[in-house]
Formats: sequence, C-alpha cells, structure tokens
Amino acid sequence: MAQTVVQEKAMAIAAGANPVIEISHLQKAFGEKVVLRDFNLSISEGENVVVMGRSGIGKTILIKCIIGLVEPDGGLLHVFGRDISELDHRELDDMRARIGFVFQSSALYDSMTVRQNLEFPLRRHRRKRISGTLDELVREALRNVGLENAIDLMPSELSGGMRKRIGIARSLILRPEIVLYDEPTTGLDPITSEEISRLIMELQTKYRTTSIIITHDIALARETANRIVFLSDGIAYKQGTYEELIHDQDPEIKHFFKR
Amino acid sequence: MAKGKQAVFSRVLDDFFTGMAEMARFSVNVFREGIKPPYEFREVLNQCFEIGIKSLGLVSITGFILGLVLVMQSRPTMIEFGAGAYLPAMSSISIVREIGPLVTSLICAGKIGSGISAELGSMKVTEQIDAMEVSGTNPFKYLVATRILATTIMIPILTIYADTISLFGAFAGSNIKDDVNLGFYFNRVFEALHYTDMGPSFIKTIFFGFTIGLVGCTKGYYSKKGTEGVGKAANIAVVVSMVGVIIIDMVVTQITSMLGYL
Repeated sequence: MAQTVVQEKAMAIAAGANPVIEISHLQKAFGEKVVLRDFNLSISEGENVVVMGRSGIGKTILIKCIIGLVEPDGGLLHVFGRDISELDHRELDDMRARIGFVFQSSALYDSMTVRQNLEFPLRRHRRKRISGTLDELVREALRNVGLENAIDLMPSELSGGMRKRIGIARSLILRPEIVLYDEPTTGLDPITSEEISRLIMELQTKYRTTSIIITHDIALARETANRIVFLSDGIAYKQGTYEELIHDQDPEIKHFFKR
Repeated sequence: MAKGKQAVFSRVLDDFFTGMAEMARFSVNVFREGIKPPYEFREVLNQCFEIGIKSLGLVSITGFILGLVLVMQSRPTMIEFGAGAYLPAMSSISIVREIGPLVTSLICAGKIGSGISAELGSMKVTEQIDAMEVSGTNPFKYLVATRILATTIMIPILTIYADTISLFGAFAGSNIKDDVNLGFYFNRVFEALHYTDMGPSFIKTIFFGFTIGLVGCTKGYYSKKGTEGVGKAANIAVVVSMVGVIIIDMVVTQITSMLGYL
C-alpha cells in the first residue's frame, strides 16, 4: 500500500517538479582513499531519494557535502539553485536553516534536556521566523514524534528509539524544506525501525519535505523511496524505483539485495 | 633495533610538531572567530560557573593544606636560624609568588583541562559538534572560544582565592605550636607583600588559564574517533597543559628576574 503511494508520488515528481538538489561530477577523497569519484544526482522538490551502498562507501560524506559540513574536492553542488561552495558563512547558515539533518547517532546534546535540545536550533537560527512561541513549537515537535512526556528528560534517560525520534523532531522543528537522514534505523529493533519508517513518511506528508535517506535497511527503502540510488565506487552506480532495483540483474545489486 | 628506535624518535618528533602546529592554528582560529559578533556572553558565564564554582572545593582543600604544611615544614628550620618571626612573610611570599599560582594551575590542568578535552572529544565522536554547526552555531565560537575565555578569566580568580585560603592554612599551621593572633599574623603578611610580588604572579595565571583552555580544547576537538581516542585526548591534554604551565612559569620567573622584581 505504502509502495503504491510512493510510486504515485514518484510519477507526479517525474511529471515536472523543480530540482532542489543538483549534484554533478562531485569528488571527495581522504588522502589516498577516493570516496566520491564522479557522483551525479538531481533531486526534485518533494522527492524521497534513498541512497544505498556498502558501509564506508561515502554515503554519509555525500549528505555532509550537501549541508556544507564536508567540503568537496571538485564538482558542482547546487542546493535551491545556489552553489554551496560559493556561500559565505551567513548564507550557509541561512541555507542550513532550510535543511534538516538527522544524524546517525542522533547527536543530542548530552548536557541539555530534550526541551533545550529542541529549542537550540530555534534560538540559534535567529533569522528564520516560525510562528508560535518556543514552548508551543517544542511541544508540537514532540507531539509529532509521540514523545511529549519526554520534554524534561536528559538524553541519557532515553532509549535508542526515543533518541532517534527526538533527533528527527529537532531536525524538523525549523520546518525545513529538505531533510537528510543518516541511517535513521541503524541499531534499532525491527519493530522500532518500522515505527521510524512510518514516522518519516507521516512527517514527510505533513510538512511536504524533500528527503535523502541514507540506509542499509531494505524495508525502510521499500517503504519510503520514490527512487533508490545505489552508490558504488564513488559514482551513482544504479538508480531506479525499489521494484526496478530488486529485479535488476547486475551481480552487485543482486548481492546487495540478497537475491 | 637502531632503526626501530629511530622510527619511534621520528614519530615522537612528528607528533610534537604536528601538535604544536595544530595548537597554533587553533589559537589563530579562536582569536579570529572569538572577536567577531555575535558574542556568546551567556555561554562564557555558564563556562565560568562550570570551571570556577565547581573547582572551589578542590582548590580550597588543597590551598589550605598547602599553607598549613608549608609553615609546619619551614618552622623548625626558621626557628633554628632565629627567624621564626619571619614565618608569616616567608609563607606569604612563597604562596603568592609561586606555590598558589602553580599548584592551583596544575590542579586545574588536571581537573578542568581533562574535563574540557573529554567533553569536546565525546561531542565530536557523537556528532554533537556537527549538529551544532548545522543548527547555525559556529562551534569555534560557542564551544572553544567560550571555554578558553572562561579558563583565562577563572584561573586567576581561583588563584587569588587559593592564595587567600592558603594564607589561612599557614595561619592555622603557625597556631599549632605557637599562639599567633589573626590580626597580627595578617599584618605581617601584608607588610611583606608588595605589588611586585602580586602583579607578575597574577599576570602569569592569565597565561596559565589560556594554556589550560587552549590545550584542553585542541586535544578534545581533534581527538580521533572512538572512546579510546577521547580518553587518550584527555590524558594528553593534562600532560601537555601541565608541562605548558611549568614552562610558562619558568619564562615568567626569568622575565621578572630580568626586570629586577626578584
């Protein structure tokens, strides 16, 4: 059922939405190790793109390049039509206010309560105006992820699944237009993973965001992807819908999907 | 065997110079980012509280015991040379010029330096620093500049506090065997102390504080991934900042001597 919805959405996107992220010939290496060799990708508004590939292949580096945490060695990276490498500090901050990032480790600030964690981006991105008081926005964000009662807890008092949910709530509190998820279900049991997948879809529908989801979780990819990009050897090796990739005869793709 | 030793020596030298370069680049960034508005006053105050108030207990206990022990150890020799009356002057000059600043800074290098390094290291490992950057916050300004400024402010204040407590310890030490009046004792202390004792001593604690903050932040910020890396960074931060404090102490003493204040 979920697959039908995402496929319908994919067709609507293919019919002509604007690209919000355009990546061409992106390169990144760490010393001798080339992570991204010639990566090309264009993502349209409202699209859900899942990036898959083996561990250590450069998936996280890719989304860190998009948000300006890692500087690419070469190639072009346009977000909302602006070249990331040409932005000054202030412009980059403004751009980041329009992009949410869900970290693999959730990256909640240990020294702050859940409330303070959620207030932090609101207080720091001062130029971004969102209607509502801090308290209202924090409570709404927590309601969205079903954790309103956790407002005064410390991150150390939360379970892995709760931390992921709070991480998602924090990344969505600024109402971003793009959300980058870095392995949102890693380390979670299958039931919690399914809940997180469902949550991602619900929030996506509610806030109409564009997403890039980095994952190894095939179930998550099946549930959420309009398009899957398979990253291998520093390039976008294969692209297609879940159905297309699952039936692909390429040995690497077959091996990855365990067929 | 010789090749093995040579390799170890070359790695140690490489680590040393890399570390120094890292710290130099780090301080330039701290100054460059720290002077740009908006300023993080609230975080500086928060760090001053964390660093200052939470170190008071340790500094009080060590300061008091140091003063007490100093007088108890020196008293027999001073009496033997007929210089018992100079005990308040001797103890106050020793405490204010050297023992107070050095011991307070060494304690703080252990407690605060390792704390800062471990905190930043674990924030780095768990991507909290990246999360901060994504949230429109410059981590250099918010985490590093504030901590370095806080240690630069608080170490001199803690030293003044430790000196005072230490003088009370010295007074208590004098009263174990003798009967000395508090007013008389502090009268002798202030007669002996001059601005030339307190000035250089205060100034060097500013450098001590800066060094402790800088080393703690650099080692934490550049700690390698993993909990082992965080532990190692905290350990190195303590060693390097202690050595740094002692070297600065030696340099300041030499300069003070050259200027004729000793």
